[in-house]
Amino acid sequence: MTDQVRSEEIENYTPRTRVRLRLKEADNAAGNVLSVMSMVVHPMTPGIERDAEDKPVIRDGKVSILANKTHHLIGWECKVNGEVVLSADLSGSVSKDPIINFSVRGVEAGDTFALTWTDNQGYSDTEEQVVKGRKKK
Amino acid sequence: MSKLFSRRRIVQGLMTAAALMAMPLSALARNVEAFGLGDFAAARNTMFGGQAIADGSDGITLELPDIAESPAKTNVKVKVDEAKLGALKTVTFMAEANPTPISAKFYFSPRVEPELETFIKLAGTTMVHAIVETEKGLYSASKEVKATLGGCGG
Repeated sequence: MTDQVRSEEIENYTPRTRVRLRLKEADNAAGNVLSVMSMVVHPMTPGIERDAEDKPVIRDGKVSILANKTHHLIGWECKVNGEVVLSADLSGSVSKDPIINFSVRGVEAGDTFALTWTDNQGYSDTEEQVVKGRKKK
Repeated sequence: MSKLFSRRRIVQGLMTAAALMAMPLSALARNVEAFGLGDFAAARNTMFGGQAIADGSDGITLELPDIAESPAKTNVKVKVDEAKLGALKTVTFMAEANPTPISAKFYFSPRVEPELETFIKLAGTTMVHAIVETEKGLYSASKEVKATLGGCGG
């Protein structure tokens, strides 16, 4: 495949992002911990050129990547009230539908959580949620 | 000589250092060159500027399966003991046998707990490394994962 037209899979891709938040509330807000479970629905295709034996083709010490086939996240960033808390640079060596789970301290109910990502084919998405607290007994 | 170490020079140097430290996390540019390298050692040296990486196995808990049931989706968990290694700045996951050895580099702000879970691809049996950057320096923890089938399709 030599043409540089994006593959059909890439053309038909629809960005989807899922985030599940759970706030563990302490006596004061500084002790609160927000657990974040995130998933981006994404093929994460590395687009590696392979030879007849299915081995990756290396040119000048670099893995040969077919620009029209590669489709993976490059940037991923989480913010709480606009402040970056965790960000990442990703490659096609991360699994399909990347899941990233972590926890943030000092988050209060009512704060805004946002996950934004970009991929190498120009797609991007943002999932924003307001942090909910547990109902007081 | 006196010009080189003049007060103005020192003040300028301190101001540059302060400006660099004040940079937001997102301003840290992706190391495109390191991500594009196919050789593990070359990718690691390019990512970390050839700096020495100390053994951090007593301060880093790296959880990986002994045998990857589905190498395309290998669960990896990392936890850093900040009391031992200092405040966590970044974690980079690398798999030696992968065509793209660097899977991901995570930038932690002080508000994030020093632990994280994700899933990476493994192209067969390989050593997996978590390279941790703290305020004190670079540390790594590693584990070999056995896989019968590669999981780096496409």
